Amino acid sequence: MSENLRWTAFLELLGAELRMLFRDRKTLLISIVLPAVLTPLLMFGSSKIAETREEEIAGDTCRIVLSGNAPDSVISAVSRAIASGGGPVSVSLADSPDPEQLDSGLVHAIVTADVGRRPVPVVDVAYRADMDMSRAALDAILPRLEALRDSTREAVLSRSGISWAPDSAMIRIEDTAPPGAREGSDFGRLAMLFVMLLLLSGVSVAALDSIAGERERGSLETLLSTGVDRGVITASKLSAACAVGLMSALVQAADLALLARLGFFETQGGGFLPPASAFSPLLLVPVIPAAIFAAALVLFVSAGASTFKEAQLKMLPALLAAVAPTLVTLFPGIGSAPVTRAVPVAGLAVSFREILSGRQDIAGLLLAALSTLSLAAILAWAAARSMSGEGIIRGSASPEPGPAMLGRRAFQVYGMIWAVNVITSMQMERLYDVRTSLLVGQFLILLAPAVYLAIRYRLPSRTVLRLRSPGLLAPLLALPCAAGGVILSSDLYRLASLLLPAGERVLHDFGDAMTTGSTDVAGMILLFCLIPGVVEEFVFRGVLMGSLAARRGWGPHGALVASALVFGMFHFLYFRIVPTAFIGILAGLAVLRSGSLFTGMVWHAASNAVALLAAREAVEPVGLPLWGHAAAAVVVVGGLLLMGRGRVRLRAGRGRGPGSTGGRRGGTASA
Amino acid sequence: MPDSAVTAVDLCKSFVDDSRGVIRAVDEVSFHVDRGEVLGILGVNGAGKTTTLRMLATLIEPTSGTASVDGHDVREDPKAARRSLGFLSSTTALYPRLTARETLRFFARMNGYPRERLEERVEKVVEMMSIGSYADTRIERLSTGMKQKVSIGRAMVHDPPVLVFDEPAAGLDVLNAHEMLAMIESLRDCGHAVVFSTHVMSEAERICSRIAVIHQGRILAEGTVPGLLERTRADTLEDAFVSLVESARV
Repeated sequence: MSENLRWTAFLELLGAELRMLFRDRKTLLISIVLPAVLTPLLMFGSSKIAETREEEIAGDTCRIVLSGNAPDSVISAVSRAIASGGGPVSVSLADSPDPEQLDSGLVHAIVTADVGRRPVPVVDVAYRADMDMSRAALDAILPRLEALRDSTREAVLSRSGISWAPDSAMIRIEDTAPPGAREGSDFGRLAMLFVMLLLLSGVSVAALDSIAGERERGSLETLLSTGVDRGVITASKLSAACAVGLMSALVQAADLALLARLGFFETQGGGFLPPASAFSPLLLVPVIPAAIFAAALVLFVSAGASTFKEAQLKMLPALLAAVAPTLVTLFPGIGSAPVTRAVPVAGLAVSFREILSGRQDIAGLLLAALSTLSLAAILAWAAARSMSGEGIIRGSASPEPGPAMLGRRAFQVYGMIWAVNVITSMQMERLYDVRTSLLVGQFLILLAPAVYLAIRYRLPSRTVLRLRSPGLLAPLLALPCAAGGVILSSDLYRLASLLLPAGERVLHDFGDAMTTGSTDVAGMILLFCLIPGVVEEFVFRGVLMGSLAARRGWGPHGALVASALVFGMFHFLYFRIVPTAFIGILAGLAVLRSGSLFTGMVWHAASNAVALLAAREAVEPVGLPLWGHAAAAVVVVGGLLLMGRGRVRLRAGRGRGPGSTGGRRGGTASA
Repeated sequence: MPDSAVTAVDLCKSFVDDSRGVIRAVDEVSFHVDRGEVLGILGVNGAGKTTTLRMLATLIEPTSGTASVDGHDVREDPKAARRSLGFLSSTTALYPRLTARETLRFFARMNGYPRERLEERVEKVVEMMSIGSYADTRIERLSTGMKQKVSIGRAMVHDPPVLVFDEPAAGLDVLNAHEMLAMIESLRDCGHAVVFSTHVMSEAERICSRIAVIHQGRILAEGTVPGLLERTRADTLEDAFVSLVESARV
């Protein structure tokens, strides 16, 4: 198909998609009209309610009950102080105030002035933090009581002949942020979350139906039987969904901007919205990639579902995954790290907040847009691949369960295992000791599902899981290589820290967790080295890498990198992800070079042992001289090369004849 | 068979089912269809008719064997093969929110029909299909028979040399089915090569130039209706069909 025809087909299809979308009144109502009406009403309503509430509280009288065994002079001074500031505060004296009056709201605060063992009276204020009027009473009387304390202290000191210079240590606070910047910054913390939710709700109405719904109705099969490229079909559907998402976002942005200009949101109390000047046209720059990402995500979900209902079910986890990165603005440490810009969606959230607060980092904004668009492109590509598969045709038989099928589902399955692992780890660490948490995590959370997957998807033990003898050479080489690998991963950690620095406190806590606890060396080797070495290699290099390698178009090296990244993600602390993924790549290379998963297990266990020993002995690999790091690299590369050579030699040995001693091992390693 | 509009040579398609293992849905199927001819593919439900036709339409890929449509190999040049055929099955539907005329225009463009002759062609199809009275009505508001007429128009609007109809009369009442068969006859008479699958004997008997009986993925016999009757010594096509299927079971 020529470029001209492709372009014509794209435009025709896009036009038809949009025409059909806008002929559906429900689409218009849900994705554009309803949010355009409801969003300002919701914002106005909540702002108005807050203002009205403040007015009501300000107009009501705070009822204070005063009691205590302090001398009358003290009681009357306190009473005068409370009533002195003006405003609707009434004070009544009582011998023994009833706390139930406070609970029922008849009284808003109970002040008790007692003289006990201390030489000065103690003033207690009892209030209910869950009641607005009670909180307002506290806010009203606390500064008055503090002023009374200061003046009394000054008088006592003067009587004792001590000069009192209250202005000797004045502190002045000055906010240098331009007007509206603080409001913009506060509002911007969750602004991108709302934008993403609006975009996804607008896009999902259009895009969810465009593949899954059409497949269910049969119109997709009709379209696929025409002479148009599947890529062109995906591109036009993506563009249509983007158009709806953007239109929805733009209509709402224009709606909000217009209403803000007209003073619709202005309240006497100031409200929670930044000033209208904060809404710069530059805000559209992060919104456009966000809309494209939302469209690609929904299209990806739609293409992977066999029915519209299935697409709806899959949409919830996809939506949560899409909006979660926007919460990065709530974490100051992570939100301000340079690497955050390179994280899809998260970078947009940071940029969006900066623009709202009047700051502009154009390079950061472009990086954030680029990373999000890259992820959108991957999702669109995956959707196009789904469209070209036979499964897209309704009624086609399902493919065979096997490594390739698990490879296609691996990220979903491991994503679920990861989520369970995160949740249970947090709970287990709180409830049980390290040993129990580790055993449960390794055997129940990681190994059990991996064994189930291996059985369910009928993974061949020798060719896919590589459960076959490595011979002697490879495991022996793995021991020094593991030590070298730890030194190199430490260097990599230093490099990664430049982009994503780990806090000193986090590092300190992690170091403590590694070195405290049992002093039983055998137990620690079993718990921290052997068990993780065996279990995690089976889970990541065996099941995950083996199944990903069987996926069409991936191959062993793509699977190696992807499985190592997943392995890194399972080590939750963000500063551990890069070095752990690197160790995963080395262990995976050892498995591929030697042809045996057992080599990876030896490497992994030895690697953990070296890291543990270094932590216990407080040895920092960074303290090694330069030649030490170079030697580590040589040992690792050389060891990996020799592992492969060993395999070649063994393979050659098989050909020497049936009586050859290398025959059995060669057959094992090269099968 | 250089002049054949459609050729299929040893087409095979296997699926793997969780409980039944490997299923050979189509097993070494070969046939050809010339221009101005209707080849009927006759078989019970699950015989492999739809899978065979979907391979011709390049919606699914053959496990082995090959086929060509108007000289375009379905493996080597699937897009050209698709542009050379109009595909209609009981599972291919139309867009509910487009009108009949918009549907014809859209699918003509999707198959690369020249823009300058588009309106003329659309009006010709509207007239041929006798759908003028509801050409500007949205598909969602049409009856089943009306939709089927638009569907046939949709399949032929780009004037393809080959038409593939997979049980097109499914769900139609007697009158609409009769009218649809008449349309297929007229298409055949205009020189189109038509592949027509059905399990209704009377339909096959009426319009097919030749019939291929398919059962469990294999073609049991192929020939004209009189030829099949003579071969099976049966009086009706239904008897001939039953005889062939029964002998295959033995």
